[in-house]
Amino acid sequence: MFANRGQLVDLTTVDDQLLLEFIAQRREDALAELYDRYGRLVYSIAVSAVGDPGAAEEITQEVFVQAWENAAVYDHNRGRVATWLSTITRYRAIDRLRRRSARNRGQQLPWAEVDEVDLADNSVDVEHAVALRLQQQRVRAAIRTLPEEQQRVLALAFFQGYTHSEIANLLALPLGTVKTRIRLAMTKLRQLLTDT
Amino acid sequence: MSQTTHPTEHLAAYALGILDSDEADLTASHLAQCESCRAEWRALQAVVDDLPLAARAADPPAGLRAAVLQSVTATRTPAQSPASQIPTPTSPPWWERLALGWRRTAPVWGLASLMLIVVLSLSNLSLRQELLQERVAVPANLQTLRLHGTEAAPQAAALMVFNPEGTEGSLVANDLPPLAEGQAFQFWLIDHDGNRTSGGLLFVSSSGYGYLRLLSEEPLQSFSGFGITMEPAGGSPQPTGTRILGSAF
Repeated sequence: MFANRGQLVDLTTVDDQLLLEFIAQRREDALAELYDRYGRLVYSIAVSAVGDPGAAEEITQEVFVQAWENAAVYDHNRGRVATWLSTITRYRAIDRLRRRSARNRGQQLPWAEVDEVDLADNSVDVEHAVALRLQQQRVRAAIRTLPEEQQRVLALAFFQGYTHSEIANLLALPLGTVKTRIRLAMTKLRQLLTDT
Repeated sequence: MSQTTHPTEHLAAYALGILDSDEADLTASHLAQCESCRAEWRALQAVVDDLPLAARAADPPAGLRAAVLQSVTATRTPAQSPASQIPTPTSPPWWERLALGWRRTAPVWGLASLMLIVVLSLSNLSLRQELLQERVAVPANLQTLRLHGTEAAPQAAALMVFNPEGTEGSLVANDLPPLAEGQAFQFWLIDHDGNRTSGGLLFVSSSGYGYLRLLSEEPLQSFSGFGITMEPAGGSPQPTGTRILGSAF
């Protein structure tokens, strides 16, 4: 259907959905463009999860290979491309951590400061990039409103896939305390990110 | 967990995918029948979807972009030249020549054909059996394993085909049940301690045919079994939904 679309198009001007259609047609330049937009996002999530830059590189490669292989079945009605790539990255990282039983103990919080460098490249697809940047700032600011102990348990759960009981063991906390902290953190984030 | 006992305290952990399997099963069952909890879970899932945006930024190494592109180049299957697939006959094809000869000698062949039909009919059953066996015969450098539909999807079936090392292969499935919006089929590797590791999400057509490329750091033979469950789109760190297919070595 799109066999001839985009042959003469500047890929930096196309939206994410069309970019994936080009990737589904096996255009490597489209994958390169996808990497330019989201390579930092994917790598950052991977580093936050596994801690090891080498392993994060491997995960990043796996994620983009998966995007290359699955672009044809990507359903844009189910979410943004950034969300899709982020979810793949997170689960690949958690899988790897579980397989190697080598999760770190989360000494340093992996949450960004509000004004840190952008995770996605904002130089392309301007309207979408601006919206993504605004949401990024909202999420970072919302995280920073949480008490540090809630940020810590949330990071262990989100980036490393620890269960309630695993976090309780790791931090030597009562199970109920861990459950409460995660629930309070998520409820607060929901309020902050849903209410405009 | 009944419909009136809402698992409010579990919904956030369910969205994060960190509930123990028993709690996850109970929560999933409740969500299937409680609209208000489903709405709450969706809102929490939206938060989870946004959390990656709060990760600390880290600049990928300079060579990673080239490595990514090299990876996909390595996975490409060389396309066959269209010209190599199209025969270019210089004389009438063999079947046209055969048909011409047949028309010329039809009376002689009539009786012989009748006898042949009888003989061929008698041998057809045994030949069919042999052919069926040949169709499922597995080359020595490949291994296969079947997955069988559970009570939730008794018609579903799947076949894993993988290399002798058990590190690479493919899974194909058919007659998978319909997926609700926001759901996916996830493949699991089960070790001898009962731990589940995700093997990825199946790509499924609207007709219920699915496939998945299998890549494993450990030989597939080192696992005790495999399964496929219904999970939220994007997958889960651990199985949380209905088991559709399963098998064991």
